[in-house]
Amino acid sequence: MTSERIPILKMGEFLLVTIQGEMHDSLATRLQTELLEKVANSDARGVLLDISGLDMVDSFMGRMLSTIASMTRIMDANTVVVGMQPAVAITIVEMGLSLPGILTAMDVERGIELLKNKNRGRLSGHG
Amino acid sequence: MTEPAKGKQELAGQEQVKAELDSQFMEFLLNGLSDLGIYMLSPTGLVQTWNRGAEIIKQYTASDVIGKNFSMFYTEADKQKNFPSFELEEAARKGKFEGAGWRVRKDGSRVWVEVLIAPLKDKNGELKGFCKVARDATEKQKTLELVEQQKKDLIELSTPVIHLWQGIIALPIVGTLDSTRSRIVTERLLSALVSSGCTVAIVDISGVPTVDTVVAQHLMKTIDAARLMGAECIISGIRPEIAQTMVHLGIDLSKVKTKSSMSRALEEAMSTLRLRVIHDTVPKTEHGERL
Amino acid sequence: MASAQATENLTVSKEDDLVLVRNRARYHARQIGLGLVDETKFVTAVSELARNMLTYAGAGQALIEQLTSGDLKGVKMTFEDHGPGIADLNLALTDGYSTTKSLGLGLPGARRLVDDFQIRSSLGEGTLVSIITWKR
Repeated sequence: MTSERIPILKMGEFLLVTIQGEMHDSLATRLQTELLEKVANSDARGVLLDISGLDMVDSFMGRMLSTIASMTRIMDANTVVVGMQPAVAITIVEMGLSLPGILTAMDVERGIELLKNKNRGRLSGHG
Repeated sequence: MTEPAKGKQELAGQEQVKAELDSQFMEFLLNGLSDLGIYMLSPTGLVQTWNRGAEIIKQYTASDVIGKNFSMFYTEADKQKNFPSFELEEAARKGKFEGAGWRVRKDGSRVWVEVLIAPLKDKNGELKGFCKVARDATEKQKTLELVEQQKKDLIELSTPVIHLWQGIIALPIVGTLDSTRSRIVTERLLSALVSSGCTVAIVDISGVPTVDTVVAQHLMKTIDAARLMGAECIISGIRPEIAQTMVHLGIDLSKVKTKSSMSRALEEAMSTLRLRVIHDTVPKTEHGERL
Repeated sequence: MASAQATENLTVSKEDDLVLVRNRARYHARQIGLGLVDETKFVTAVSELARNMLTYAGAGQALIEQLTSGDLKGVKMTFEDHGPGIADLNLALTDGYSTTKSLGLGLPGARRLVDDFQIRSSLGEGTLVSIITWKR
């Protein structure tokens, strides 16, 4: 179990992480660390977290997503969470779990579009 | 004859009768009951015996299955989830496993079985194998699944989703929105977003007679859920009375996009989508602009 | 009075157990025919409570039961530990309460996701939480 790693792919100027189901808590924490290291080392302009394979997001996972978003922003990269399943979205809302600072998109393609827009917006001086 | 000797003979006679009855009973159990599959498995799940009921339920003959692992009867999906080994472990650990599931027959067709797996242990408590009993409950299951499907169909029919434009769906809601209906609308809207690949949904409430705090809360939750999925919701069809009620009730709509009519909502939706594409690297003229 | 069947008793003492508990909860929720949304809500609540138990008490028991009450079917899960207990239950059930970061939304969030939520706790003795979701 401890030797499991979640692959972080480089997609142009962005990083893509596909989070599968049944992620153990310690694996989640390790992902966070590795991702931030990779953002620093690869000078990535954005991160895509693909959670389309997650059939459950509890407060622990929610906090991890928010933390990744906050930390990458400090390193000048936006994080987009893509592909949240409907049942998961409804559950998060019912639970009252707030995910501060999270950008979302329906899929990876739209996530990339969003990241590009955000980055362009910054270049042209818009907040 | 002395008493003890006679006793022994009687005992022997009784033993014989009992053995005879036992074997008749066993024969009845195993082959007289044709709708119960009863067979034995090795500790690792290899089929060791077979009976008529099992042959009828699964279509395999004894020579087809003896020596093979019983996981061969499970569906691919269940095999992937390791159900066969899980069920044996449960049986060994808890003393029995009771469950149900789809199995695959010899001809590839499916049968829904209710099963009981019991561990067989010797006097030292060592696991010698398992006994599995299975009953065909397909008809009952098919009826259940049909009813579920009909419920789903009914929901879809009563909450129509219109694919208005590329990237935009609309949900006209007619009638009162109680908790149950709101839940259905939410699920319908979110799954329609996924299946259509649209990122904007227009929810038209001109056909909803009253909107109170509860309904407003449901709408907010729907909008929040859609946002988490990366989609936008626009509420249209807000009649003046509804607007008044909402303000009186202190419902905060500042974070919600609202339009008085469907056409205004459509304009808003298209402008939202256009904004996303406008930064595309491929230069576009006003006329060649694609959404 | 509901009758319980198909019970499963699981021990939660390490992280791996959380995955097992979630899987079994999902299995039973499906067995009684909960829809996908209700199943997701239930399993999420289970995850919150199981993790709480692990974090605060170090270990505990998770009991899963399928309930039948007349025509109604439900799934119930009971988490019991002999940990430190919760000092102020009312406070713990209030949104935003947290002694350490990880208890942020555990209880109030879980409560909102299920039909029935019961909790008992005594300082120094332990905590018992039970949740039920009924099939509509």
